[in-house]
Formats: sequence, C-alpha cells, structure tokens
Amino acid sequence: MLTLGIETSCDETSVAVVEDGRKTLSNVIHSQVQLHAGFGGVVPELAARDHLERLPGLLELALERAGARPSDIELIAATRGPGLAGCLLVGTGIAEGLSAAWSVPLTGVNHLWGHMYSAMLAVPDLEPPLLGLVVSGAHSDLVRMPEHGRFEVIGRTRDDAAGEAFDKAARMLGLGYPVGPALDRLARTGDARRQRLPRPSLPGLEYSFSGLKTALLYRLRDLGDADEQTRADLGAAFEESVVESLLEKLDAALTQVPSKEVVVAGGVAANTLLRRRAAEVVGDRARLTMPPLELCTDNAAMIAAAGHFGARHPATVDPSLGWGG
Amino acid sequence: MILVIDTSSARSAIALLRPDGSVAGEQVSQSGPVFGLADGVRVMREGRPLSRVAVATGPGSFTGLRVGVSFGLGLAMGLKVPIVPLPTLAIQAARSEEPVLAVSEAGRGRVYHLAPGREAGLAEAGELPQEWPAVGWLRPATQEALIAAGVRMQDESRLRTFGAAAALVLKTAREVAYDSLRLEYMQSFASKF
Ligand SMILES: [Zn+2]
Repeated sequence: MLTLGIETSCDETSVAVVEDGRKTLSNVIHSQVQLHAGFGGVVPELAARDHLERLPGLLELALERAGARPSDIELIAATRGPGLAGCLLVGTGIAEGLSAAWSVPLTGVNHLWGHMYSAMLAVPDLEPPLLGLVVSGAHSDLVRMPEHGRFEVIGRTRDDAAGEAFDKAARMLGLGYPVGPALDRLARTGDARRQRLPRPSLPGLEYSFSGLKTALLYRLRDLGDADEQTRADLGAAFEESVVESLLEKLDAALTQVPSKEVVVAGGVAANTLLRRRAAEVVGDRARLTMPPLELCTDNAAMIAAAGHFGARHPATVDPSLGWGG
Repeated sequence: MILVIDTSSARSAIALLRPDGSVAGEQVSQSGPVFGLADGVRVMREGRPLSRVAVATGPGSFTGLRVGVSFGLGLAMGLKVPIVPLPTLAIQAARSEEPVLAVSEAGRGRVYHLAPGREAGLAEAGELPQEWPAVGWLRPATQEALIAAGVRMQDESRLRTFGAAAALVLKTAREVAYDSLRLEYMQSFASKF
C-alpha cells in the first residue's frame, strides 16, 4: 500500500511516497535555507509562500522517482501540526485538494509522531514498545511508545528545547542561520575541556537549558573579545553540556522503564557528538536506532509512515499540537 | 464545468459554472472563511467532471486565502486541469452593474479596496473614498465601521450573485502554471513577525 506524504510545518517542503509505512520509494526535500538566510531565521510568511510554489514541482518529482501513478496512491498523509500556521495550511490544503481529485482518503499527521516514525523507515523490523528521545528546534522530549499511534511523554524541557539552546548559543558565538550545522562544525575544531560550562541537571526526567545559555553569555562577556579558538572551545563546551544533559536523562529513563528498542530522532539528532555519545550511553542495554541524516531533518517520508500506522485523523491544522493529538 | 472558490473574505463561496459561463450551482456561507470546502465541492459537483479550477487569490483573510488557494491548487493538480487565479476585489466589483468601491476584509478594522480606474489599496474605514457605494464581504464590525464613517454599502438585492460575477471576471482571466500561483498581499510580510 502506497502513502503519499506532505510536510510543510516549517522551512522544509517535502513530498514522499512510502510503501507499507516502511519502505521509502521517494522522499524529495526542498530546504528554504537560502530564502531565510538573509533574515537570520525563518520568516513565516515567506515560508508559506514558498511552500505553495514548491509543492507542485516536488509532487511531480516524488511520484516520478517512486515510479508511482496517482492511481497507485491509497492514502495521503499531511502534517497538521505542530508548526507554523500559514505553512501547515498550505500543505493540508493541497492534500485536501489531491484527496478530492483522486478520491483517496486523507489523514492529518502529528509532526512529532513523524520524527519517531522516521526510525521505522530506517530499520524495517523495528516495532513498539519503544523509548524515544525526540530533539529538535522546538522539542526535547523523552517519550514512551507502547504501541503504534500511542505516545506518553515521560520527560521534557522546562524552558528551551535543545535545538533552541543550540540556536541561541550559535548566535552568541556569531554563527549564522542555519545554526545547527554551523555549530557542529565549530565545535569539531574546539576543545570542551579548555572552557568548562556547567551541566544543567534537574531532578527526575526534566531538562533545563536556560542556565547554560546564561553561563555562556557571561563567559563571553568576561572574555571580552574571544578569539576564534576560544569561540570554538566554547561551542564545544556548550554542545557537550547539552548533549550530556540529554543523554543523562535518556540513561535514567532507560533504567526506569527498560526497553529493548531506543530511538533518537529529530533535527538535533543529526549532531555528530550526540550520535556518537548516544551509542556509548545506550551500550548493549537496547538496540539504538538513529535515523540517517536525511530522515532526521523534517521530511515527508516520516509523515507518510506515521500516517500509515496511526489512526486516521482529519487534516485540521493545529500549530501547537502536542504528543497526545 | 468550472469550479470557482473564494475563501479570501469574511464569507466563503464556491460556484460551479457551465462552459458558457452560466451558473450551475453556488453556495455562499455566511460565516468565516473555513468551512467544509472539500465536502461542499463534492456535493455541488455531483461527480461532474471539471475542466478548470478558479481561485480567488486575495487580497484578503490570512487563513482563508491559504485554505482556498491551496485546496484549489491541489484539486487542479490532482485532476490535471488548469488553475486560474481571480483577484478577490475584481470579483466583488463585477457583482455590480454600476461603478462601485470593491472592498475585502484586511483585519484590525482595515479593508482592502479597489475604486473604478484606480489601484487597489489598504485603508482604515475613515480613509476610504466615498464617491461610490461599496461592495464586499466584511466582518459585521468592519462593515459597521465603514457605515459609521459615511461609506454607503450597495444594496445586496441589486447585485449579481457570486457565481455570475466570477463568470464575468473569468472571461478575461488567464490560467497560470501550478508553481506560479501567487497570493496577493498588500501588507508587508514583516508585520506578521
Ligand atoms: Zn521536526
């Protein structure tokens, strides 16, 4: 059974064709990085316009690369939230139109669920129950997935998400948008031991990154004009503190609720240090799945997979949708 | 059959036109822009084939515009039929046989407007030209503000239906490539920050 996925929640426009929720036949992604680069961040209005202009070409390409005809599609899955309202409306609107044209059912998909389902595309025999860490610009959530289409949040951040913290740190260090890859590169040339930063630690499974952010701000202020190497060292130290804090809680969660399968997914799961350290922390207690980079960024294949496995839901847009929806 | 969709204003409308431009069906909802668009279209079409889809591209409501335009685009792409953009204010102007000031909802008490022979603009109720009666689908509060400012709203009974007006505008409208459909804004995107 083929599912057509459509993802437009933020600054990636993507269309995919997925077979049986497991096999990616095509997953075309257009990144709006260039469009927003001059603004230092995503401009919602520009993003929504660009989704509208890109989707027709991407749709054609996704079908062509999958070798699929519209009549082969049995389900359309579109992201309904969380995300930018205007952007979500474009994706779900086009999906509604295609659904009407092809007489194919449509389901609205939770973007967060999508990140967890990206792991199902990476490892075909992966099945719940799972323990997951979903880290992105807006989320740092520890979730249990007891069965398909059901998620329980067991840990989350009290303030900034991990990606948001990386964002702010990168700005302080003078890096431009998109900051994730830039910070990753900078940190690779630095040494965290030369500029220690505090490691935030809250009781239970909660995160907090705002204190760390303030510590970096004060350190930069105290240093005055930090040279290139010092900035790299600070980048490495900041990255290490965030990563170790994330993994400390994943470690604790794995002890509290033992699970044979662990998934680390989301945009921040592309981070080199996180990928290396997660494997060490999980060790042989569970099988760790970290989807390949193209499945960690926002993409439509994961939306198609989540749409395939989850219960059908109207494609009503909800910009602040949580794990429950 | 030609399907026309306008969800850019304070009322939402769909119409089905025959190839000669006569109206086979139309529906105007009295409330906001988001209604069961897909269901409404399905019921109105009764399975009849579409030869093109026309969508009102604004200026108008932020949410409504996106809902209608992207649905229309998805439908046209799915059916492989042309998509035709129609300016919202031109449709409203075409509802009257006499010269009128076409208006549409811009939010925060402001309206988009188009006077005969002039450029479209964005204004507060008190700044609108008053030489012509006004035609357009506004929120009740916005319409009251216009009336309070001295603008005369054209009597609905003297106006063409939405479908008939859209058919007139369609006569001179051109189809565009699927990836060239643009929403008309007159407000800077920066204001949405
Ligand atoms: Zn995401």
